[in-house]
Amino acid sequence: MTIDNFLTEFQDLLQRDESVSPYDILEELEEWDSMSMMACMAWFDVKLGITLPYKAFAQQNTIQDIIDLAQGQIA
Amino acid sequence: MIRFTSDHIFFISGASSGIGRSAALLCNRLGATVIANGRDGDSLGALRQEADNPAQMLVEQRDLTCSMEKLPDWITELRKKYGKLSGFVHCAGYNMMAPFCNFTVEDAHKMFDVHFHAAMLLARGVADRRNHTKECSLVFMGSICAVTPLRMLSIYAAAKGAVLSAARTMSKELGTQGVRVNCVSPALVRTPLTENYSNAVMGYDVLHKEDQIYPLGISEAEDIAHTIAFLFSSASRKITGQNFVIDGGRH
Repeated sequence: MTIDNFLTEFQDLLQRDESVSPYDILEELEEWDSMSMMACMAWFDVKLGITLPYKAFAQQNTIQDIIDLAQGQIA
Repeated sequence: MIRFTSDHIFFISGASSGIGRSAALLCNRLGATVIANGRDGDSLGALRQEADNPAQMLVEQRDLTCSMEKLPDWITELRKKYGKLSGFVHCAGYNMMAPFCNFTVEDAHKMFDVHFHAAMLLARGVADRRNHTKECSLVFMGSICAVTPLRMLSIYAAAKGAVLSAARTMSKELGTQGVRVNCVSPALVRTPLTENYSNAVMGYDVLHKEDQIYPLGISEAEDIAHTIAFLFSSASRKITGQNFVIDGGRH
């Protein structure tokens, strides 16, 4: 999956009108809360086959950090 | 007194008759903009004509059991067309009385499609942050039979029970984003459907008989509509995850 495709998917996961970039700080995104973290966790599991604990997402700082969790599947 | 403005946009399914129709007319009368959904175009047209504010009674004809998987996207289309939603109530549905020994998977699928699956898919669309206002209220129609066993209603009770259970869970998930989720569970309500059933199917005036048994009498559709309007309003802003039984003291 390309980074652009992921960013579109991630925007949809956040249910956000505005687009997002890899440099966006997660904490500053109003929509990045426990439910969207769970949605992201489920997305990684279903779409990429990568199962990570909730904590792994909660600890990330930027969207790029989330991309890095994909072990090269988003590039 | 509850008052809405035209910026309060409520989506009401099953608005062509019964409780949905009453809720649509009441919310419109109280000042809201109503997106009234139903299958029958003529009934929706009549609804618009009867509305106090016809310009704020927007009709959307659609059979919710067709292309169900597209219902969340349809809600997004409606938001783009009319604006963000402040409330949603799922009144679409029908009742089917049959003994449990007549149970068929086909009947159950039909019942769950309209009462549960359509309700959840529409709610999923409304619950999308992009589609609702900062404060939003989702209301599902339950039924007294989901909390009190009544004969001949096993499939209907199961479908309504599923709605009640899902709504409670949804209230926990959606509360942090300003979405309240509640249910209204009426007992017998006088609607064209129940009047027709009473006389044509049972062969006697069930509604009249039951009216004598209910301490407060059986409900009119407008009685239920008032509870829906209350749940849409800020007067209920701290209420979520609840089920309001409206049974005139019968059960």
